[in-house]
Amino acid sequence: MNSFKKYVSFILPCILFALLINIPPILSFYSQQPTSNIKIIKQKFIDSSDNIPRSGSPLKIGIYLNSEYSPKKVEEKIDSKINIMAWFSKWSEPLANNKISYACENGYVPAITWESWKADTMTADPYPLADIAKGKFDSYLNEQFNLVKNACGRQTVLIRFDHEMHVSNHDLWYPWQNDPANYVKAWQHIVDLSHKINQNVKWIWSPNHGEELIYKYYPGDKWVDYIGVTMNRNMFYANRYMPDFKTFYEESQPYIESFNKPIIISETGSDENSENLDKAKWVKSMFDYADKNPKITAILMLNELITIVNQDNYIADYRIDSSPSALSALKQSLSSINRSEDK
Amino acid sequence: MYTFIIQFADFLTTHRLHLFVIFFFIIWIRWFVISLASISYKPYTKKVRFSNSVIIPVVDEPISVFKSVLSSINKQKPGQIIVVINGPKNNSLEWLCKKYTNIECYWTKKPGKRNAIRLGMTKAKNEIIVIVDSDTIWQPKALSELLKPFIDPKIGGVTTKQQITNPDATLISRLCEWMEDIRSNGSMKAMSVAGTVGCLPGRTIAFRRSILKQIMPDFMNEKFLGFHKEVSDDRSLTNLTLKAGYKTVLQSTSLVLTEAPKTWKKFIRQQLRWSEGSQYNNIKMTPWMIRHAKLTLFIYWIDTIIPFMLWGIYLSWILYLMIPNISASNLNYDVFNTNNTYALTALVLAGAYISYAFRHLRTIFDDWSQIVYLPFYIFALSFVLAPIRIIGFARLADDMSWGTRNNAYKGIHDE
Repeated sequence: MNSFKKYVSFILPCILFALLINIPPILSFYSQQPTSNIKIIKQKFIDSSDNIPRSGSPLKIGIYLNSEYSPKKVEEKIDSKINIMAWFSKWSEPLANNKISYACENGYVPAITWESWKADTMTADPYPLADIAKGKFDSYLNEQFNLVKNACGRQTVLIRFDHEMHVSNHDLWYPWQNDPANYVKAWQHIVDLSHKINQNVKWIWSPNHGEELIYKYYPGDKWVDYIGVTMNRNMFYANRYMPDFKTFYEESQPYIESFNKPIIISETGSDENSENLDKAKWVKSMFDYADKNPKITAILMLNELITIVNQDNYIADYRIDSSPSALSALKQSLSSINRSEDK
Repeated sequence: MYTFIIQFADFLTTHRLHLFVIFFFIIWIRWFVISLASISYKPYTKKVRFSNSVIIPVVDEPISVFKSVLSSINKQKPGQIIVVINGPKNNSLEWLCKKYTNIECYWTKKPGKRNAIRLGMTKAKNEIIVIVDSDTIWQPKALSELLKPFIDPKIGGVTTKQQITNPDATLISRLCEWMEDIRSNGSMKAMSVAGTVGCLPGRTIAFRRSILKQIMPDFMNEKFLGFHKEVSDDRSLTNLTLKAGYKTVLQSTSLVLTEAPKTWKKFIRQQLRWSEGSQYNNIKMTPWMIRHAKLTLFIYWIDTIIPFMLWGIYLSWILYLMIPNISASNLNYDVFNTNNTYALTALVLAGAYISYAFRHLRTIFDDWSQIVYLPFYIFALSFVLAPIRIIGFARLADDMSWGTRNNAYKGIHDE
């Protein structure tokens, strides 16, 4: 009897432990599978390898939700569904969080502007491009890509890494600007790592505007899925004279469309506080133009007050409902363009 | 256990290593090593005959307790019983002692158990010396069982299995009994199989007289980093016996009874003294254990590290709860899909219970009612005994620093 107790009290815990150490790998395996197949079918995103981008699919609409968690309020406001949830994320915070899980679980494509800096300061750069390229942050990067994979499985995730990189003619506002050689190396390194872990992360290479200088920063077709461009309109820059979206876009068009990649208007907003910028007209012109240009696959609209630091902290009002006329122009545009997925 | 599952899953996906995962592996590896080793433990069964002398050092034991101690020993007819009263003169103890014609009574003014043992040794005539605490009551056949392992000439020291008088009386006595049981069922048996029980608990220990004589000078003049430390005489005797090249074993069929502390304050003081003494001896014996007793080394050092790891984990959890913005440490797993704090706490506690219960099935099989008290034992071990071990270690470090100054002086004075 005693020796029976002795062996049972040894064997039972061994069995328990053997079972126990097998649960986590199973858990880990299943959590990397897409959470639900139905939801993925709901959200088809254009494959960037298509020769004709958009190929008849409707224009995708995204809204920056930096302070908000869910797009529901915005959708109620504009009477329309959005396709993409966009936000900014610094390297000092985790790339994947509840927001990305929410997006993927509810059929939104996450579009994250991923910035390799810590705070809004240029002085101490904790993530120099050269170090990124050398692999100093590989464990951090791998961790982030795994987290994204956990959250989104096989669903598309857009990442706009270190945007507006080609500025050299005036004060820099990001630490990764004006360093083409290391920028290209770092970009390639990051994308290579991401491809090993998760093929469904798509990369938006996003200059500030089109010009000759941007070619020095282009990482190469293999490492880029979409070309992005910033199109913010406020009274401090030349673009305040741009009466409509078309004129503004066409300045950059020869450069950004020369890569033969689908275009995403990756950050756009218009101020309207002063100087008769006529935001409503601008918004309408944007959708009219973008709907007809099949190279433009998506528009990501800012929706907040943005402080322009180098203009005496002027606050530009990029909110979609900054005025009733701006909001109704947006509603009208969204209802007039074709957004049905079934066609 | 639940914590382990989610954190290990997180590690496999994100390669973030959590402290608790390491902790969990360590306690299970410790369990596995000990259980595997102790499976082949068998008490010695062959009847033997050895002449023996019992030495009982006593200071100020209540007369009623000492009376039952002496009578329980006397009944088993040892070859010689030597009572050494040390410290202030105690007439009632002396009177009690002299009532037995076969018991030799001595008194020494110099306090301290070590000196009492030394004095007893000069009077002892027989082959095996049994040293007994003045509050320890022998169960029937304790002596004859205790002598059996000496049939192996390599065995130098033997200890008994300890039990608590009235274990059901209070929570403290239950806890003490539980601790004795899991120790004797686990690590003591494992170390005994290897012949290197690191500490023969002093309630009742038997040594060969030849060995005691040989190690007595070292025993009396032990110094640690330059100062004399009057703790753990039983552990010192064990160390010196091991170093002399003999084996030390447990004879689980030799049973002795001892009282549990009456109050938590006394319990904590006792445990603190033991933890300080045992950790001090661990450090001291480490070089020897590396060469001769790897299993004992493994068990003792794991036991030293575990409280620190456990409290490191607790503190990090507390910090995590206090600072809500450490979102980076959010886990991506939630087995039962709950964000409810109460449910989560319940799962963590249930996991801890199952994990602990399975590791102590051997002791639970002997008394199923223990499953009711397990949560209390887990609580006491984590929140009372683990901090005591940490404080014991800290006090030891403190002793080392001031000891070299103050006690160096004292050492000279004593000469």
